[in-house]
Amino acid sequence: MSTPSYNHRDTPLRRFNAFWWGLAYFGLFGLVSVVIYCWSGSSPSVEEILTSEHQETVDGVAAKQQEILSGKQLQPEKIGAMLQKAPSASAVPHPSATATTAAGPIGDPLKGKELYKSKNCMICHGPDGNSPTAPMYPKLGGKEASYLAKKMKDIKSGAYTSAFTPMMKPTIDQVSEEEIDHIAQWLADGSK
Amino acid sequence: MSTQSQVPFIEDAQMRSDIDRSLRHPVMFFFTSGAAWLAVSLVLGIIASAKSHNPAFLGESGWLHYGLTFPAHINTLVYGWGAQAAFGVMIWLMARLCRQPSRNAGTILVAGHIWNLGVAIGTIGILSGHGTGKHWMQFPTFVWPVLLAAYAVIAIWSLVAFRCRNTDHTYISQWYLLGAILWFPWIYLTANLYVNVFDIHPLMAAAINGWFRHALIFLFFAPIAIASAYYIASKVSGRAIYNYSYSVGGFWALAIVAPWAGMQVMTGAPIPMFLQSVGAAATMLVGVPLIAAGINIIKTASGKQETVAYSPSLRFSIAGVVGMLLLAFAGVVLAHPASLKFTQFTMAGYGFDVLAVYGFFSMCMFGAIYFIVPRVTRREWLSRRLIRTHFWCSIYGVLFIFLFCTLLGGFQQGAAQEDHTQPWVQAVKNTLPYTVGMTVAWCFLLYANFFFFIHLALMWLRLGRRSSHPTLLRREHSALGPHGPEGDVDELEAAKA
Repeated sequence: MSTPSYNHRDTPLRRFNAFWWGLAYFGLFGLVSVVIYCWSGSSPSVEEILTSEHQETVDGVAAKQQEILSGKQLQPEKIGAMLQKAPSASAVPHPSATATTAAGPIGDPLKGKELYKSKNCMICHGPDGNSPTAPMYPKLGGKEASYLAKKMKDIKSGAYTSAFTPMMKPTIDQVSEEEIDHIAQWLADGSK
Repeated sequence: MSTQSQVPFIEDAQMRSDIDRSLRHPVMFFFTSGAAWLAVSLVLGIIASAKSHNPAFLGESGWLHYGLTFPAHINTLVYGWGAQAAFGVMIWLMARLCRQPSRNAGTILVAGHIWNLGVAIGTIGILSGHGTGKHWMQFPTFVWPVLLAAYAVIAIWSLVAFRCRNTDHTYISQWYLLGAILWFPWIYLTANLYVNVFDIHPLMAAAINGWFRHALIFLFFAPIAIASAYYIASKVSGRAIYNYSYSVGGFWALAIVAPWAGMQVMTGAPIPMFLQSVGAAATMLVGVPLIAAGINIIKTASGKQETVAYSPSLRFSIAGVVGMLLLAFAGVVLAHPASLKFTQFTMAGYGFDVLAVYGFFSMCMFGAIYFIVPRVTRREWLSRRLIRTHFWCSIYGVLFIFLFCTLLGGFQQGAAQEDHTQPWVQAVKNTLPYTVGMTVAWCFLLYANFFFFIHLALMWLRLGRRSSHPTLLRREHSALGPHGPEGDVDELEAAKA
């Protein structure tokens, strides 16, 4: 090999610098990528975010449904009691069965008027059934006779309970089922 | 301080000889192993292409079906042949232009073996079903750090050589080589970290994969091919570059536009719209620096048609430059949003990749290899017929692929896919003749490169012609030509001494 002409750039320091700066440059983009990736945080993946949002929505809907339906859910023993009182397939109507026929009165409204007073119904529900003495007592006048009769009979039998049925129970226990029908008819006819 | 113009001719010739001798082993290793991988890639390409229209080809072997052979074909083409040819040309060209013999040939050779080992293990991994499934990144995930480390060991010495160069002028080829050396680790490391390591959204990983393929073509393979073409055109024609300012402008235009290209492969996907649009626009605009470089190189060699015809190096390099112009045209056509609708899910993308890697890059590399190997081995090519066969079969094969895949086949397939009035299977049937044409094209290329590999291996074994006259493609030299009387190269030098 011949002696090369002098090259002022070719010095050991320049070679050393070029070598290490070159390798540093090669690794620089990897370092930058790692820094960017770590700085952006170990955020959950898009699928995880969407799944958790969807689950929140599902849980919310289920809770709302539970809240709405909790007061309306029937307990099994009450379902059984209701089924016992359901109209039978027999041609002979039971006298204590709920009269749900749309046509025809279920009782005598005149007798019902007398019974409404004598059985002390007016004390809580007012003289005409639509003037309750306290806001939590229901208005009864004008409602369907079969509905009113069934409600009273259910309170009497214990098939229906609420916060206020304990106050009604002692009163309704003094009223027979036939008398309930008369009272219900009088209230349904406008309480006249 | 000594500049190149003050160095006597004899000393300059001696320095060139020193440079060639210092890099003989790594350069010949890269070229020969690259040519071997090219032959492997072409065999796998033929099998994959045949399987696409005849699944019973070579029986029902699991490891030979399309899903394994196609990725193995592409990855061996890119990393086995493309990268190694690029390394060989890069280290030799940078050493020559910096007037610096290499002091680290042994280190580069070891790193080259490690690169080959990585590619071999990666290919076996793909064929055994452990590929990642990501286009152009299908080697198992443990391979890419090995390849990156090997690359660092190979390329760093070219960077040092440039820093310590013995010239005051920076040649345009040095600009492009430096760009390629610095861009490759950025592209390769970033893409592999985000696609294979970090836990990012799969859509972005797919977009980054599309960006990686285009970045590797435009920011690594293209600069090295252009650097080689500039050097060969100037050296063989004996002229300076037609316009140095255009060449530097073309380099910076490529550097600014090309990094944005690639994400148009995800057009229609739920990724930000600007990524898709910018990718398409950049792929179309990258035609500008490619055309500028192409015109500059062709103008440098213009008026020297005889030289282009006789010289294998110049012929292959000019053919590669024409391939580059076709690539620019294909980029404009395929990346246009109106075309994307038809070509996005067709063979047109494959045709574009093959045109880039073979029609442009590989042709320039063949030109460089036909120039470099005789200087490094001090032997001349054995057979001009083999060189002519290599050239013409390559041209036929690449033109078939460009026509069948990129233009006709891609648009036909896309139009049939878009036609909702006919069943999907009709699009597949329409594509059948083009897939058969592809297989024929790969057969042409295998035929061309099989003999190229044999020729190169014989040169590596120093069994070439011991002649002072280069192997030309047309007529014999005369004793009055620039090479003087023909004779055995070693005997002539001994006589001069």
